Amino acid sequence: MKAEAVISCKNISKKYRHFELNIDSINFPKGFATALIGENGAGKTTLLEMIAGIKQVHKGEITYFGNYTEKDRENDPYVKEHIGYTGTDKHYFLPHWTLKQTKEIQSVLFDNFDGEKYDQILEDLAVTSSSRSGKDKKVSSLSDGNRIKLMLAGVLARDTKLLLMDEPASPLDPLMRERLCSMLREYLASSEDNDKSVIFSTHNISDMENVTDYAIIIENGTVVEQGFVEDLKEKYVFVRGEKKDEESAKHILYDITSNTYGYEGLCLSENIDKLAGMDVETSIPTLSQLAVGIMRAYTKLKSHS
Amino acid sequence: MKHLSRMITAHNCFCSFLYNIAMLVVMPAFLVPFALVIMSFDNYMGIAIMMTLLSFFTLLADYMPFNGITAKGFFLGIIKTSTHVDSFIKDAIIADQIRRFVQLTIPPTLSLIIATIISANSIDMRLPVFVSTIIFLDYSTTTGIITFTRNILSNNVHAYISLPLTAIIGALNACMLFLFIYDSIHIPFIIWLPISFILSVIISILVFNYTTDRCFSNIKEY
Repeated sequence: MKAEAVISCKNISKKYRHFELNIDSINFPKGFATALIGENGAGKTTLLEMIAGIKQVHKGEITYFGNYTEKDRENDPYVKEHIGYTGTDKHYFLPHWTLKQTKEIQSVLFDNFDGEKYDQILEDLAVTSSSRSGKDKKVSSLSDGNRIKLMLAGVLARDTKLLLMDEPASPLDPLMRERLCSMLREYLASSEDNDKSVIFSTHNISDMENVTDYAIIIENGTVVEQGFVEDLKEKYVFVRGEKKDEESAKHILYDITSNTYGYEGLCLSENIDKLAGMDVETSIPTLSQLAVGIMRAYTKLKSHS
Repeated sequence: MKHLSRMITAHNCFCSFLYNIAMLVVMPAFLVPFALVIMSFDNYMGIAIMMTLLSFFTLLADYMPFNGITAKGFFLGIIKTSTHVDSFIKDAIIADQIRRFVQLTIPPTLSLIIATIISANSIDMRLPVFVSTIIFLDYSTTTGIITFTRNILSNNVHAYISLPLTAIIGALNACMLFLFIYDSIHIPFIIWLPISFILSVIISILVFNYTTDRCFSNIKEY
């Protein structure tokens, strides 16, 4: 499957003392939800912050909506007005702000901010009641989950074309994660010409699977796999086998884990014929199995076995 | 009117309601009686000591709203993702400078008025000039020092540095006191009022430019 890019990253590089982000090329597809998946410290947040313009010093180019550069992002209001960003930082909204103030400040900061819609979303998400005291609540008194809801309400109350969300699901309860997925689906479906896109990073792969169209797996600062989820599910096969075949399968499988009774892992579809003769059970991998298998193949974590 | 409302929003984004109450109501409520007690012995001394304390608290308290705003890596959160980041920060800094001027004006003015009411006959006509001069002088020095301390992200370092820097303000206030009371170098006292006024205007402009430039260089570094 091929799609126009909403964001293109080329030759992106940023060096820290103990970490280096090196992205050769990523094209985030327009009109779809893209999940950035990777271990802690893999570079997901850094990449999202670069795209949002929070981290601006780096090498390489980022192109927005097909033809806007990073300089355009800072000089042409169109780019920032059409990007909604939610981060993980506790100071994204300063702690002393009241909920009423978050609305006032966002009204000043963003031209296309709809205050009534914001109030409605906050009420729907049970962050505020219509009472006056609810709106005087301070950001510092909110739980992590409610803080995410506050950010979510802020970006959804604007007329944006792209949502950049860093770990939106992590602090949320299972019910709210499901709600988040449906809100993102509604957001994507709300444009007539398919021009709304979502890019989010997540560790909650299973919960976010039903909203993920495209997946990018980042390990140690580089992209190790990317593609539409349906294409990736054709590229890899999930394999389970018996202990006796483990040694032979190890050389064929892309990634393998073993237990007392047997082994399981990912195999490239093109290599599945090499398993002929072995007693194996194959299935289409879930996004979680795909991501964990690919991450495990590239991780720097030492195996405990 | 709309711009004024945006300025207030930008200012309150950094300075909480409690901070404003503490600076504009609570601090004068403590400092004015304190100044009046000393003014019952010496009007000039009372104003000078109160202004030194007021400047010290102003320096210390500035850490709460603007801790490290010009330091590299200061996190501006949602503000950074806005198209209006430049005008928003400019508004916040202008509003802060106005608030600080008001903050430094209320206690000495109140003290002067109360002292005049209590002892109308004994008030020297040089005292209002002295109060105005010291307000402009302390506004200039606190604004200048704050520009430096806003590069510090650590609370402890900020506090340790603010304390000795207050000594500079105290020394300047003592000099002004000396010049007014003793007329020692034969310069008419009135000259210090326009000098301190011009100084405060120049420092306001320089500090505004420096702070906004530093904030923007943090944001727009390529």
